[in-house]
Amino acid sequence: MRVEPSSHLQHEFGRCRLGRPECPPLERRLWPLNAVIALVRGGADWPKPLGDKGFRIHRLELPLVTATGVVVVDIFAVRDEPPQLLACEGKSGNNLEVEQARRYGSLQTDDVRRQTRVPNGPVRVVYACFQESRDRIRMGLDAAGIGASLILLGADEARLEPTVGAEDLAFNVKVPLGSPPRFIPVDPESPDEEYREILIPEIVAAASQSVEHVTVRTLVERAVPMWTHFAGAQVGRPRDQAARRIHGRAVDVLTALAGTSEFRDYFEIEPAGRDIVDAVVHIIKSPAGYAAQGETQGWQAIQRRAERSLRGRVRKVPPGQLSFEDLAREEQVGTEE
Amino acid sequence: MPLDRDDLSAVFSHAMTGGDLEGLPIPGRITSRVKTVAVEANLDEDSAERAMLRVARLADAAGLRFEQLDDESLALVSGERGAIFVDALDPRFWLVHSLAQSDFLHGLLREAVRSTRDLDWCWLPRHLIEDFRHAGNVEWFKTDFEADQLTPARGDPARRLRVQLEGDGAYRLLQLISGQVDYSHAAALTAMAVEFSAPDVGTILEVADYKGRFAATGNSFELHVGLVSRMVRAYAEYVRGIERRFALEWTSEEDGGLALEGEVVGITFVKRVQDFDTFLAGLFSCRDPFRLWGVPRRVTDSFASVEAVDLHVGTVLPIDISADGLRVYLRDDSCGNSVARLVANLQHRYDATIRAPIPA
Repeated sequence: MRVEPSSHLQHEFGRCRLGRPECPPLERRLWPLNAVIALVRGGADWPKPLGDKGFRIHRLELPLVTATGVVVVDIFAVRDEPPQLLACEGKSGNNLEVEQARRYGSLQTDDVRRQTRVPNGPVRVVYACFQESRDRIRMGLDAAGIGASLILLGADEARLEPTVGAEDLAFNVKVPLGSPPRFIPVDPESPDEEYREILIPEIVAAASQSVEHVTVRTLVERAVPMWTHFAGAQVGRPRDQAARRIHGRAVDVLTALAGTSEFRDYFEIEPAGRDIVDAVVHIIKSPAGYAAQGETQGWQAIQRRAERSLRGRVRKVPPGQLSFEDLAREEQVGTEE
Repeated sequence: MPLDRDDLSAVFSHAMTGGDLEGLPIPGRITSRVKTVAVEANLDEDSAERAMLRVARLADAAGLRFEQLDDESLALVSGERGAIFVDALDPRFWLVHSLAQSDFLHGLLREAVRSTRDLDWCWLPRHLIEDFRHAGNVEWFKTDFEADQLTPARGDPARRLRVQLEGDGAYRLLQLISGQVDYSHAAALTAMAVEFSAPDVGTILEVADYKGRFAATGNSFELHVGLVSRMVRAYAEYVRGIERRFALEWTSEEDGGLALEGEVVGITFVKRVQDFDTFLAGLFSCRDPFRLWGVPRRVTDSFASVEAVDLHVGTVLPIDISADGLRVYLRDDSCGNSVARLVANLQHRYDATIRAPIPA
């Protein structure tokens, strides 16, 4: 289900001059995850207070077996000196899963070190959420009986509220308005429009290379490598399942797009079958082979169709500008005979 | 053809001093000015053999003859109107030399770059052209700044600036303009000429521009090629350094988790974007020089995200745009040249003071 921007985000984004706010560039659901990555690694204009404290990202989506069951840690960050392990969970809503929180709480250094190569330091649990969810998340953690630090995301700040014993992790930094950097732009739960946003450009990119046929798997591997690069040994495991779900979603979205008036002249999709192991996108028309001016116009035509498909309308292009230099040159004013 | 690198150098030096090239298979009208263009070839394999194969195909597509010279990374491509020598010593960054009329050389390369997705110019960010200044005495500079595509018609103290000055004090004028608050953003460094000499070798007057195009007069091809190679090597290191530091690469690990390498490229604007509509429309217009396709997703009046397609190379290049700068997500199939091109063109179309990202 599509998560509508909350009033918090409405306030944060303000309103576009065009009258209505467009959806955030990154699903709200994925903000905490991306924000934590940025706070560790930095991301262009984002600060990296955890990186500055010596942490680096060891793994994302790391499945770990604990005494109470398996927990898939969203972001596992580590520090060598002094050694410390951060198991981070991103929460975009007000509620947390108590059972999952207990599994986080039961992570032990020795257990973790048996499963992945990390420094020998204590495990700290961190939940990242929006500022307005702080009390509810804290309540959930109390109910689960675990002490976790909180990374709280506000409109223009991010701060870490440490749990007892983790005071050295505390930070409070300004962050730019807008979304965090988009390290992970979509996940298997993302709505169709998010898939359209990333798949249409992939087809345009393939068309610009004069590619005539491309498998859906190739397209999704390019668009979302974080979800689709999986080793054969992981067949049946959560990431493999995620990759399969994403692939299925991509096939559905592309099939629907290929039937629209905007794109039916440009590409069609052939479903997987007995002789074809994967669905194939056949690109029917590409401006790549046109002469220079025609090529630019061809891409602009696809751009307008994509805009209609993605935004429901075509934005008016600002009018051309009068250049005095051009006027003078064309009318031979100020030029030598 | 029995012509190697030393022979090529001797032939070009001979031509530069007005010598007769009769008897050599270089058709078309020969000039005494040597021209070199640096081209980036993004091939699937970094080898001289692969580069030569690509040159042969390009020659064939242009209706020209291809001849491998007496060097595994040197080729002659010729037709009735002229000849070019392609030096792929670095299989990714080619040097294309010619003594033909510049129309022939540039027309040929312009069409090759436009119609293919694996060739691009070498887009030198300002700091690399600035380095060229230290090669010798600056005798000429040119500024060609044109912000029409990205800024509104009114409200900018300097929307177009075209200046060139020749003379011993030429560079001081550019520094003067760069020091003016209202005009510094327009003081782009488009091209520069330096006089350079080396005892017992010779003297040349070398002109270079930000698209990796060079021309020289004088009496030493060795000096010319030495200067050009130095700049192109610096550019190659820059582009590879950008890829090493910023390309976002995901790998699946044995423990079942994912590892992420790379960073987001940050390009900070000194001059804030005032008119976001015009800026977005201009940047993602599919037109030269940016050639970016995309449907911006406006979030606020001053923040947007775009899954752009870099039509130069045919890859997706996600970009976030705010009034204060850009975030560029370089994927593992992206090319560092995309960042160099973006920066060099923003320096000529929006703000000359934009700093290029620091490579690894």
